[in-house]
Amino acid sequence: MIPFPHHRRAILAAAGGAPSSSRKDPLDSPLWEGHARAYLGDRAVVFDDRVRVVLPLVTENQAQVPVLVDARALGSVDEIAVITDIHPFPLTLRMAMPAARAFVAFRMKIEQATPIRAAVRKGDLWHVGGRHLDAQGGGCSVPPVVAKTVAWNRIGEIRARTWHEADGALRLRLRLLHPMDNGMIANIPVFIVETLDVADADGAPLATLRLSEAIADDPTLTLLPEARAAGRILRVTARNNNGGVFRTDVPIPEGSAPDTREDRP
Amino acid sequence: MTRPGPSSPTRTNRRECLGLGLAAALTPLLPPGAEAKPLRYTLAPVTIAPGIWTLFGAPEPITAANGGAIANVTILDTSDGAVLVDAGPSHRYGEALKALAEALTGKPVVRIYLTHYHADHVLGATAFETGIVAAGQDLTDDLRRFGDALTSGMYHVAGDWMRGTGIPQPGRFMAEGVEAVGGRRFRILRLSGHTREDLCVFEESTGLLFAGDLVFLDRAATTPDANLPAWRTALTTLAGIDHRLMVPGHGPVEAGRRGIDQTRRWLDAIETRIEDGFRRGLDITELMAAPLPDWTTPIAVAEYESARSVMHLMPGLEATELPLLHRA
Repeated sequence: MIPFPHHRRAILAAAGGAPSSSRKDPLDSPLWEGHARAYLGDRAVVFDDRVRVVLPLVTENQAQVPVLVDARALGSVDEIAVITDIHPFPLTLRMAMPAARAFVAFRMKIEQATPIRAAVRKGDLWHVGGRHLDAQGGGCSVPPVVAKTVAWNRIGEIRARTWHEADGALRLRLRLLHPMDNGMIANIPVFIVETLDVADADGAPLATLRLSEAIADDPTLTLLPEARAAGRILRVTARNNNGGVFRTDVPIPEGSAPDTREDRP
Repeated sequence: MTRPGPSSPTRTNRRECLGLGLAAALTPLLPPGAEAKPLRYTLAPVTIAPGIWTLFGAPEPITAANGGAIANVTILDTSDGAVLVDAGPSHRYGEALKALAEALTGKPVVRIYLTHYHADHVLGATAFETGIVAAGQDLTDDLRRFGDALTSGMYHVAGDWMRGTGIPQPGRFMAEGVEAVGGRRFRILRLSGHTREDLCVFEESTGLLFAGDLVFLDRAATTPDANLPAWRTALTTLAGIDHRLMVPGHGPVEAGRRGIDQTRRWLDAIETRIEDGFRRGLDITELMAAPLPDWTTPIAVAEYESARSVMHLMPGLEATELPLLHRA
């Protein structure tokens, strides 16, 4: 890939201490305005360093790029939209969080170097943070499709575990065995997990995610739902674009949850 | 894989101008600086034994500054000609290596042993006749399957140093056993762990052990294709060889087993750190930022390689060690 000068400037600006909050795109990407219009609606947008997007130093595998969004510094928020500027599916993931911390970690597929952003909505304002991901350009660098093997008889298998966070939230790590075929390869139709919901034992939603074709195979997520009082489980429900539904209950370990039933009114 | 040709504007101009005569086509239309300054590797051979020179790789990641010259390459003089262990990262490196080997030994290069398929060790082999390039079957197959990805990755990180680099096609099968070349005896050992096929070379007449990338010394080991149990078994095998000098794939040449011990300790440390982070519920990105043990401070690129290792090894734990709650 040819490194575009504006990317370099963006990196320098970010390293040199960009203003903590501004209306001008710190990554100086020509695609940003269109994406913002398409995905963030009419609400105001502000670039805000409190929205951290953490990317690896090096893109080791373009089909499994780990991305972490941490906007806990904003307090409780309503929604997170992850937007990848240079990508056939720019809206990577959308997450509403009735009762979860402003945090999500996941893996995605990328085709070339691109800015990756998180837009975090708190009321009527989008707070946006992002980083530039360096990577090889061109689809030819993506590992060959033939190398992929799908365990068809195990599709929908869910592995998950929860932990108590020091600040009272729960930590949920989850891996759902499922291809994320994006429909852009001849003779392989779109086959993806579209939604993934986390609820408490009573079914009250804590976090609801909409995943795009850009998410890596076998979606692997880390979320921080609130430790609600209802029961000792989290209910996870995922649905794919063929209508297949995958459900499981994830046990919450006994112990250090400060937010117990007794504390509630 | 296509080799980089002239940029398209130049090509168009040349074609348009062919009618005006060749000289007009080539000279006046090339603006100053149309060709990048030719890059040249400075190879600094260090004598490690009589008639044996090692070119030490930089203890760094592959960058556009070092041209990928990060792995050790060794030249051995024999009565039949020069023998090389590994060929460096690019065609241009291979050409410089060939000239150096001929100058040092006064003879042509008659054999090149490739230890494993990683780009920093093999891509220089395109500068040599395929009939003298010896490699294992898996290496040859892997180059066929992943060669394009290897070279395009190298073009991305090392840039113009890679000009003219293609995919080597080793013409000789490197079998286990002893090959005698010009008075030296090269014992080939077929091990694995760093990749699925790691060929080590033990030169019996001098007791030199070329461990390839099964041994890293004072430079963090890389794990993109690692199988840690197999790697540990290979280190045990290497420790059982009564060698006089150890030539690691990366790092200084020494007598003794420091390289073997340090590589084992490093592998144990990154595996423990990744398992520990996994048990605490960390995602890849969080674990990459976690601190390393103090003893690793003097090891070059420790943070960089340990972060890469998290990306290589964590997904395997997630796929097998997270509790299985819903079976399809």
